Amino acid sequence: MSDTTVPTDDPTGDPTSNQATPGTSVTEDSAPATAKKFRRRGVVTMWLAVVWLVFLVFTAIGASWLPYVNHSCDQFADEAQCITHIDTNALLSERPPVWATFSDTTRPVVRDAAERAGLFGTDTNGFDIFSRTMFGARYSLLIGALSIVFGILIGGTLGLVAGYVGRRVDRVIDSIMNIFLAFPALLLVIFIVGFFSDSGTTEAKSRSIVPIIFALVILSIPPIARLVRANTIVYAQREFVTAARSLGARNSRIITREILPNVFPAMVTFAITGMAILIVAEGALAYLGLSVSAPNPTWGAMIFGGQSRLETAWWMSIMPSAVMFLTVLSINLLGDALTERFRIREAIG
Amino acid sequence: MNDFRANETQTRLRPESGELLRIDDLYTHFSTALGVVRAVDHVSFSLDRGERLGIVGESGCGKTILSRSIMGLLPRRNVLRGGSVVFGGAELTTMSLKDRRRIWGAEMAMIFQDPMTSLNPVIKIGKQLAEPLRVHLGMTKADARATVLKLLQDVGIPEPDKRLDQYAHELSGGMRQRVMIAMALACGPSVLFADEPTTALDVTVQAQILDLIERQRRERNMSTILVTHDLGVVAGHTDKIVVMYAGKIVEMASTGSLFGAMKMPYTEALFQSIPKLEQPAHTRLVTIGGRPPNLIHPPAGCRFSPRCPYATDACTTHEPPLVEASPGHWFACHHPVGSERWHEVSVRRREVA
Amino acid sequence: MRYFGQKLVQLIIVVVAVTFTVSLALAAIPNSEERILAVQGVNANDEEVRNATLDELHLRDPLIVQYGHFVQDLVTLDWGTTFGGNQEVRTAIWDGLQISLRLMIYAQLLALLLAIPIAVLAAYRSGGIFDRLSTTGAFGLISLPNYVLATVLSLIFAVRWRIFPVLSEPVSFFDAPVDHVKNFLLPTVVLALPLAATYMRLLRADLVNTLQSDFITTARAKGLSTSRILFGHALRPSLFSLLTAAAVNVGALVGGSVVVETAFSLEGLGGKTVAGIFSNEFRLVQITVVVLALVYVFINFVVDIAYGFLDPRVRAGRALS
Repeated sequence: MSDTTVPTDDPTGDPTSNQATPGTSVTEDSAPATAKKFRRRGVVTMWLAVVWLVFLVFTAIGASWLPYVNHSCDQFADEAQCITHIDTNALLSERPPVWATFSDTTRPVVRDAAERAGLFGTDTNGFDIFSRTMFGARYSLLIGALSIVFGILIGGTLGLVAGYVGRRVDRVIDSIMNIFLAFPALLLVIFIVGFFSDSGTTEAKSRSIVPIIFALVILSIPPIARLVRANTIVYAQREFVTAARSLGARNSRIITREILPNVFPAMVTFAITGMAILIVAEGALAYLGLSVSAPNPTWGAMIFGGQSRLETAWWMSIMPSAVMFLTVLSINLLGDALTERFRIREAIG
Repeated sequence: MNDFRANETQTRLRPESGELLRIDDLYTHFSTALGVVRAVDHVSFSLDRGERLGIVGESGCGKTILSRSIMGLLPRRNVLRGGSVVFGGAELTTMSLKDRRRIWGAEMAMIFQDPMTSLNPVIKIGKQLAEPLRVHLGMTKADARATVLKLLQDVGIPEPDKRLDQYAHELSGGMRQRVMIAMALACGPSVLFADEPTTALDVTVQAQILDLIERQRRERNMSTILVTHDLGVVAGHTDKIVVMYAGKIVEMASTGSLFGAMKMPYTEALFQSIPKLEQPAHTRLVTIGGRPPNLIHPPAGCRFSPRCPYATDACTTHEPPLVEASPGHWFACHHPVGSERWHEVSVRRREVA
Repeated sequence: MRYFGQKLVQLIIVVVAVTFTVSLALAAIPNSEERILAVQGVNANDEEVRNATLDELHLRDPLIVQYGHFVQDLVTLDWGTTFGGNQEVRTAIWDGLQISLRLMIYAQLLALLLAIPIAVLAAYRSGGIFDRLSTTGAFGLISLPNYVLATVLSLIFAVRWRIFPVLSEPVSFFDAPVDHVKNFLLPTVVLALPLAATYMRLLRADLVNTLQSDFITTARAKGLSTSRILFGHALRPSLFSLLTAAAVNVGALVGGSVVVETAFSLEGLGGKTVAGIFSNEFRLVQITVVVLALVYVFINFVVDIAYGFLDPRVRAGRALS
């Protein structure tokens, strides 16, 4: 005799009675009703998130064709031209965005509407912040995506092997993971990036993308490996694996054909939230000056650079901050929505 | 024990004899995404001081909701309630939550089915037991401790001082239920609700617990309401029995009258489904065919008709009213035990068997 | 007991591995020798001086020997002086530690102070407006990188309203209490808010679960007041995940608040590490990283043991809720 409990909504009279009342028998399953409610609420925000991300990706790719192209010295054929540009355009320096209104800026000259420039304003060198932010998006998105992809490839493989083969291999992999997990995350990344980038002298440290991706990959491998390993263990014990083995399938085939498709959804969801974390981490590195070095525009560096100008030119920090926040939020929402969808699917089917 | 009765506010609600509880046309419906669940559908009965009432029915018939409805222990959202519950002269359904809280634990107490999950796992037993004493009676820590020790002794727990500092999972099932009983009786309530008190216990322990409840009831002149699906439990421990089906009362009688002259086919079926000692080994168990009723769209007419062996067309169209067969014995059936139709079908059934 | 033994062995392995990795990271750094010499202002071309300097730091010895020296120095607290030569590494780290510890303690306290009442209120009226608002707010906070939060709060409170200083000074509490609070408040808030968001989510989830339990019905049937039920009966069994997270964060925060320290230019351990990287102070960075990592590892070890110890009893308790 099935006793499905009646779902009670938020009680207000006796607030401690959050319990479903037992003993009532309803013959139909009420799961579809609650699932529908979940979907309604999350769908709008999820699509907004998707819209933002698509917009960002497209703008980042097409950043070179933006109307405000002046974003860094890289555009100029040589150094001298860049310097001339900065000097002759001094008036463009630190101009507020076109939509900004002023209540208390200390620079009287910019109270005049004609003095505003750019969608996001300009920075100290007269470069347009909107284009800089979109170029910065390239770094953040690229670094985040590459890192998480490699993280999944390596971490996922390690997890699958550890979970499937077990015993000694598992313990060895586990120990190695533990070593990396022993360091507070950010510190590990800083340590790796800070030291392992090539530098000629103590001056002009030019840093390429490689050490950063390397550090972020190392950061993401242990959690991914752990997740995949746990999932693999669960599925490796199921009957269909035993069945496949009894039919003479080789281990590699079992892993790829039987286990991997089941572990995949969890991995993908983790990847998405992981990417958000990595973008934040890259931003932190940039903020500390440890990412791809100047004059390449990165969000973190822009935020840091603008901090000293908060009083007179707040847009220098705030605009990239807003873009970063929206991006991370969107990715998180997407990840959340996917988790819900997988969970509901699991519950029903 | 007599110390508690000295409390002024409590004597107000405690007639020492006569009618203590009167339930009139009580209903509790839950509105859900799939419709309105009529868990308790217009129930009426009364209970005297010191009387033992049994509420019997299968799982899902609404008996647990009924006991909670009487106490008023329900969520407020999505619940449609009505009817009246008069306790010692006071109307419970219109009382504020604050006033009801003063009654819960002090005047009316409830013990639940699974003592393992019904006791807080991370708080010591002693503290949980002392809680109602300190909250309702304003006792000091020392007094409460002394009272709790005595209570534990009364319910038959050995080494009570040791138990005070123990946690729920350190006690056996029977002991936990005794602790729950002690906790319920702490402030000397006049009504004790026992919601399937023995279902989660071993058979040997069941009898002990029921005896304990009975003993306490006698000493305190308490009324007990025993909610269970087990006819065997009510047989020896109740004065009056109410049989519920699909949220309605289908038969109500004194215990003797019910077992001696049951009228409802449902009651008969329940009785027949109890395995009896005298039956030869491997006798097939009698079950009640069909499925439990849908409380959102209950069957038309008599709610038991889809599963009743004696049902006729009249049963599916006209809901039988509660009629009094003999003083105090009410039932709702068109073709009760002993009627023509019943004889007709019984003979046929015996022929087949 | 076997559990304890296993964990202890793991601990030792990790400690060895960590110290090994850090000590030898030096060898993997490109151009490390040049950079060190440059910081010390030593002429790299003078063979004798160069070798002498490198020998002092044992940088020309075989790797194992280097490791041995490293461990020895570490344990005897003989951490040397900074390459720039003006400060003892030990003092530098101690100064930084004080700041980092303060920030960590303040942030944890503030986070718990915020998270617990909000979680209780949200769970008690689960599904209601407050619940939905706080859940959304928590989600937003978690998506907010702490440097962004630092910038925004800085803008509002330090720049526009001028209540707090933009760059903080590590003023001691005992010298000037008001100033101390002013200096440490913003960084604490920036650290505490995302922490509080995580804690609040954890606690709320557990509370909602616990409130469905049978013993809560019993508590109601006893006629107890709402606050007594919530705080006396429901809260305690639900604290588990929260406390685990908080314990782990004790270690993580000390080393992980680099960004906040930089944002408000408070030279805690994290800030010193980054500064050290930029000025090629390898030794300082090495020691800092090792100390932080070991603290983190040790705290995690304690949490693991505590988990195992509490578990049999908690397992019984948890199985019910």
